Amino acid sequence: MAGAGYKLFNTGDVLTAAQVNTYLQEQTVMVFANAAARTTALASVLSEGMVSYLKDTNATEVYDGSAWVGIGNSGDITGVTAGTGITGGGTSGTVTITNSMATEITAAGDIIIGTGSGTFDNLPIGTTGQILTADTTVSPYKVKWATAAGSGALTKITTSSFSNVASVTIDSVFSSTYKTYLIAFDKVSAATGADDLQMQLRYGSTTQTTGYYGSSLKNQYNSSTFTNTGSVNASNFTIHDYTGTSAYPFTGIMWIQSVGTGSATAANYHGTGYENTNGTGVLYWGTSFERDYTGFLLKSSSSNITGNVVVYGLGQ
Amino acid sequence: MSDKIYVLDVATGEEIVRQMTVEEQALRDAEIAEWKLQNAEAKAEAIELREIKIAAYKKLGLSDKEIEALLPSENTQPIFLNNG
Repeated sequence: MAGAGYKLFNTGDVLTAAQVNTYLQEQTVMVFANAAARTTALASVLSEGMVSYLKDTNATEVYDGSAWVGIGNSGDITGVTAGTGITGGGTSGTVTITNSMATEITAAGDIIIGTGSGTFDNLPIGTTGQILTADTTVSPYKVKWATAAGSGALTKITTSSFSNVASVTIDSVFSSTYKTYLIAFDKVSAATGADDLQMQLRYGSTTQTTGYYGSSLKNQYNSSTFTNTGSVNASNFTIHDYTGTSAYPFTGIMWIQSVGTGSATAANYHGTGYENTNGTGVLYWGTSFERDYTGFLLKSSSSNITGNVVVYGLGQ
Repeated sequence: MSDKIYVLDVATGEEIVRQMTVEEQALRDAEIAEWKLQNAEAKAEAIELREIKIAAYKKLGLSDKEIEALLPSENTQPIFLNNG
């Protein structure tokens, strides 16, 4: 059988059939027309270690005990030459090639930028918040890290829905991220519709209860007369003097600026109360303090409120 | 039973609806009482002012229709209460 190993024959030895078969025939490279011919020929003697050559596929294979497997390629590669972006290579032995683009990276955040036809360089990471920007004046990269230009888009920060509560406190909503915020009051109603809808600013966990100044211009739907009313050092800011009932809730939007920046805060507001005959049209207000306001409190003057408030930040 | 209050911390996402504490409820009740008092005073003042205007216009010989045209529509609900 194949694997009989090596035997030293001496002069005058008479070879037996088994010795010819196992030491010679079954340990040579046996040549067959194809795999089928090989299967037939070796049906009764197939054993691990046999080597064959198939003429139809030019494959040299070894039997591993369960299947015929190839024993390697024909060795026609005579060398490895490094192309663009790769270094190394060779014509013999173990050959190492290196991706030059990868080795160009020396620090986290580095990116590879094309500098011309078939050339590249390492562009180090920018600072936090910067974006990669095309700039054809920057040689040779044509791109650079730069602070994002203002998109001017509104970004929704939070949506709050509340039902039958005495007050609504929304904290940690203002910061230096935005200079301007839009607060949308959506279907806010009070148990007592004629109540004022009031707002106060908060800093940390403290609600400011003084120092609100403002002016409101309003008119009735059935009158051409406009009334301007001022508010001086009030305990709150009255968004609307008629919150409205659930059947006719209040809706309005307020732009509020310079909160969360330690500078004077001001807001202007446009709103309407469907049920109210005294709808506030245009209004502005501010506070006498320069604080880092972080949130606000909403309530009605004497009853519980229900509704939704959405806060957006306006990109610069 | 005390009223409930809604508190949302946007930074943490924590949203709470809870009963007011005794102290908070007392403060709220006092606030409401103060508002009602001032609202009533402001409303009475608005009515008085309107009546004074009507009387003055009548002294000038204006008709009721002329006076109605000059005065804003009846509105006894003040917009702002100066609570300062």
